[in-house]
Amino acid sequence: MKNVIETDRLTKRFGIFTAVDQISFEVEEGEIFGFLGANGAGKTTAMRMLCGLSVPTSGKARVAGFDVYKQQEEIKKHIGYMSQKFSLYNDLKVWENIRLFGGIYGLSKKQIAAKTEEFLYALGLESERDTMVNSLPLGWKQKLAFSVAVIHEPRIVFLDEPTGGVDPVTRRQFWELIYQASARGITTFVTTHYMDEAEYCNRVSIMVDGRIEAFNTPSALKITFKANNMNEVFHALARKAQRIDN
Amino acid sequence: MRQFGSFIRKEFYHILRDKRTMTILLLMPIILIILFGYAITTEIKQSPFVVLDNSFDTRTNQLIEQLQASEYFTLYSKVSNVEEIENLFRQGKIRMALVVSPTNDLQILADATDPNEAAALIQYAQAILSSQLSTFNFQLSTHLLYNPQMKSAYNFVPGVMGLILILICAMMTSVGIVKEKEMGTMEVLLVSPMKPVYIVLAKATPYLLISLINIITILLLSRFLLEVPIVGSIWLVLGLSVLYALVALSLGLLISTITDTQQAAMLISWVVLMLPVMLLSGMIFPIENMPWILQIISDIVPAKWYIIAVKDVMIKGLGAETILKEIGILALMFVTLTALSVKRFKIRL
Repeated sequence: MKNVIETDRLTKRFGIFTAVDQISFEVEEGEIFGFLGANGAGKTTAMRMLCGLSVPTSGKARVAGFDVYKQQEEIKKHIGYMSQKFSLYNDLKVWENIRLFGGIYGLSKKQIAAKTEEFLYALGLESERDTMVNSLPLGWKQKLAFSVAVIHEPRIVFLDEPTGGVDPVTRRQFWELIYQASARGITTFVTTHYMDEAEYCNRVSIMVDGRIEAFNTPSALKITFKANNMNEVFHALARKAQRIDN
Repeated sequence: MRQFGSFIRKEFYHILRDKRTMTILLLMPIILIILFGYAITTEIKQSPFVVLDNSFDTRTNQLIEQLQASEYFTLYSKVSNVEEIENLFRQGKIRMALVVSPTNDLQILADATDPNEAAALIQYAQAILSSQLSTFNFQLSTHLLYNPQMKSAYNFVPGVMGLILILICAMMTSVGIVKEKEMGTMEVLLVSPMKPVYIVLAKATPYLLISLINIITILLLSRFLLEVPIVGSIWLVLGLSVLYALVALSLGLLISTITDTQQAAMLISWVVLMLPVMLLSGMIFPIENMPWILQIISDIVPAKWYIIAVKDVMIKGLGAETILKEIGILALMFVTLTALSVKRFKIRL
């Protein structure tokens, strides 16, 4: 298996505060990788460095084979991103959102038209083509946002708490989309609060106070921590946290 | 280029679909021009006046005729004593009174509850009667107060242009960019291969276009409704407006880099942009009458230089060579502000 993300003692400091403290890990191609941690543990900062939004203080990292210091523009072409805030435009219609992001990622008109049909069919949104995204239910918006995030078939898609605020059934449907993308070879890098979702990942890492304290498959972690589920694993680790939860 | 195209299209959708904002943006210049042109005006039209003639001289009738002939005054009545004048003033029936004494002293009385208006009335009357006044022993019964708007009735047209451009280019752009931050869509855009400079350019383009439409609206209104002649080159006025709009855009960009919420962007735009334009640009209050510290501050208000230049071109009909200083200052402001905000934009992200 090839690694699509490799970090080596990657660190980000803001003044005297070390948000991310020498993390080293690899993510394999096609893998669904869960990046867990309490609020303020440094997940988002780490993810921002990998996406080229933030320059690391020290350490090394390669994403899709490109260096995060020098080749940020190349990285951006090969990743998709869905933020924890909702990442579509509310005042654009469903098909206009698809066209916009298709355009941003440089797809041709033909490709965009094909993708639009594909998404609308796959998500069961055919009748909502001209609906303003504003009036879609949150679960649909999130599924659409995910589809748009992988519109250009990136090597890796970064999902920052993508399923916040929706019910377990909708979350399950959302994860179906992730599995489908994974089957096409798209690597998923996902942060989440929901420990039931952590179980869906191939491998997870758990960050505590800027460091990676655990890194393995969910089943191996459960054995190591003698836990029944990921929730117990997470709490066993998070209890050690020194930082005040923000 | 396709990236940029699809992005600009998105910006137009945002603006066109926000009907309320769109309406405000397009109507505002019209409302402001009408407001300044008609409502907030010190121009005195058809002001009623009375005459108390104690001299029984035919020259008094000449005075009345001359005042009547102007569009500013109409004779309310002739009165026979001072008490009557006082009553009419109190009832608000008249705005000015002429009193001619038996010794041919001429006194002009005006209601100074509105000192600006009183001053204007007396100045107008004085001007109209100037040819006759030499034959009278002329004395005034009010103190003249400085009335800035007396200088020119079309002072405000360039001022309104300065205001609208700042409002639309700076405020709308900053709010537009900050809105994307607030919604979380900015992050998605920054992770995309789209260059930040395109994101900003695409944001600014529609507002630049709208403000040009507004400038043309204002020029048309002032030319055909207010009958303010455009003496100089219209292209120079438009060119100046574009330059000033660019300064405003870069200001808006700078504001967007230092704020995270739309409310904050709006507030800063008001305090840092709108108020100085209204108070310190010379649009309403003359700069030369300000304390020196405010005069210095007024130098960094872009609107001041824009208004000076537009007045020179539009009203005095001067050419580009006379406003090189203003053009230079505005260009310098644009370069500095853009450099600053590009730097800040990078630091932030």
